[in-house]
Amino acid sequence: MTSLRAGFVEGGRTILPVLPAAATVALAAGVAAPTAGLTPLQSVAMSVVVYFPSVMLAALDLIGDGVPAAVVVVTALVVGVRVVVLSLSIAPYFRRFSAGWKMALAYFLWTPVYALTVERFAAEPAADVRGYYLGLALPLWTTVQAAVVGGVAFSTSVPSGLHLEFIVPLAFIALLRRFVTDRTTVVAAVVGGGLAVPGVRLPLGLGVVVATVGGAAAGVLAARWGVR
Amino acid sequence: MTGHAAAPATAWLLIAALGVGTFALRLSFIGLYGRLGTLPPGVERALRFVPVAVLAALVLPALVTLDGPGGPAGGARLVAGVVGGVVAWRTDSMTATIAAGMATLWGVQLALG
Repeated sequence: MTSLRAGFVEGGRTILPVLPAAATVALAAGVAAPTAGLTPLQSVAMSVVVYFPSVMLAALDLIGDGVPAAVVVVTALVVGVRVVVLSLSIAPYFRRFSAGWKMALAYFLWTPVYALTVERFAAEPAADVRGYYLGLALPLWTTVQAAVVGGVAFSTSVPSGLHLEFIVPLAFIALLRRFVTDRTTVVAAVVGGGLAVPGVRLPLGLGVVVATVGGAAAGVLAARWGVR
Repeated sequence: MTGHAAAPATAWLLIAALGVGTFALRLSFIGLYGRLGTLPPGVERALRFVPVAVLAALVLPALVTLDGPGGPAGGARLVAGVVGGVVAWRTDSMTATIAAGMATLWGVQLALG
């Protein structure tokens, strides 16, 4: 058990530099939630239940546009679907744990926690990663929830003429920069964005879904044709 | 963009569905380790492009519409989005991107009265 505690302390120290960036995206989600029409309680509940700021931002963007709930859920989950790859990659480290532990650890799975855990334990795949993983995850979770609460409080106390809803596309632009890593991802972004502009005329907010499929397909084709 | 408040029951259902959905995505391979195998390489390749495509698809319609920038208010959004993009690429900082974009939006709107 002492190794669990030592791992927890080490993880807590490692996650510190990541907290400001996580707080910013969570703050943006907190500001956006009441702007999209959620009550403060719903806003915070969404953050705790979903615990995925980019998924939350996407959902809020579409809720604010009055898109039907089913399309909101599908599109927002598409934003989060990359976490499946993280789940696949980290699964071997969790294989010995009980179903309850697996569920608890899965709830906290997010890119920084995944990346730091896999980096730390790549050379010792048989080690017990729980202490370190939770040492990363709990400060990150606490920071995200605190920032969302702060964002909600700020959002409900300023006049609507400030157009705080514009924080959402700006946050997406900053996130987009991190995913544009080579020319194939540029192709996916240009085609996805380009299809979405006329796509707003499609019913039920399906334009975003069509544009995403088109953009991802364009990226795959570009890679196949040797673009790099 | 405000005022589209969903009915309360719808909002709670939506939150629950998003929670179940994200949890299922996270648990997928962790929960079914050894039983689910691996993703087909084609699917894994396509998944790499999903975040970038969906983010672009959410951003661009917020900046431009088919009818052009859509009047002075729309023009301010386009200019603020471009400024935010430049700052994002230069700094890789979400805080700087949001600050520069919002400052530009307010500045242009003030200038246009």
